[in-house]
Amino acid sequence: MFIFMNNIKLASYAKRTLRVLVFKTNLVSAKDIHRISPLMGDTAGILRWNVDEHDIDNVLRIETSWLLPGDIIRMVTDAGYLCEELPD
Amino acid sequence: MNIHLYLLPMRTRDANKENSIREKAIEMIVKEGLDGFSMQKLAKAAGVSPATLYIYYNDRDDLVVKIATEVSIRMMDISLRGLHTKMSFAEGMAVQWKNRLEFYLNYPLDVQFIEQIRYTPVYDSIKKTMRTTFGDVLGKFMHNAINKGECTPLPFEVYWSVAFAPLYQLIKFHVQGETPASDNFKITDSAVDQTLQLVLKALKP
Repeated sequence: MFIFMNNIKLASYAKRTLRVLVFKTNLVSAKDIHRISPLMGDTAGILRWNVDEHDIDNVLRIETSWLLPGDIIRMVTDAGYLCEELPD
Repeated sequence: MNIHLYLLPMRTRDANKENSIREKAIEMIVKEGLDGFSMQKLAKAAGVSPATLYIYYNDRDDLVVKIATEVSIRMMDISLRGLHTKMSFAEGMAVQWKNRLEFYLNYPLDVQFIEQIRYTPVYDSIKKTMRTTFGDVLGKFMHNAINKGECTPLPFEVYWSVAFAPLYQLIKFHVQGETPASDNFKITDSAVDQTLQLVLKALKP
């Protein structure tokens, strides 16, 4: 029983390692990126973020240790943009 | 309480994957140019997901700059292999000619790749890296050669055009296989040496 509990703790701790999350968005222009910039900067848990301005998918790249893809998608969609996770 | 930290990220870096990404990127940029190049196309060609590309690189520009820097460093590294600052000018030039020829024949795609991006803004940051990494050896070698009276001081462009362009013309003939005078030209040690001797003569004060 104890071992089982321990495993659950481990699984939740796994979220604490640095991860890269990537999303396809419609953050097309510098203005769009500027608009989400405060949001990204103020969110605890986002270590680094950038939008690939020179590629067709306008990929939003996030380095985080504990945020989940769903958190980012919610934030960006709430700001009025499209955001979907790029599959592995 | 026992606290364990998982140190492995969800997606881990894989050297084989990284190599294949690099190779495909070079191939695509040589074939289609920088404008037609996209992360999606690259992912497909390298057999990885676009998401994976973004593990290794922040964005498209970052990818191009990182790969081009690696290739440039390898190229200079090989070109200057065995060159010592105290070598005589003739000896040092022979070493560089041999190295440059070798690199060109062994890595023709890398050479074309660097040529593609040499005149794009991407190359600016690479130039700085190259200067700080290799400027010292080459600078000292040239300085010594001029001080010892073995090489005429010249503006860089004039010097380079005389010192290395003849070698690249020979290589070009070799790669094309065809010259105005021959249908199957192959570069030989004697052709290279004959050209080098004339270059040395021209650069002598």
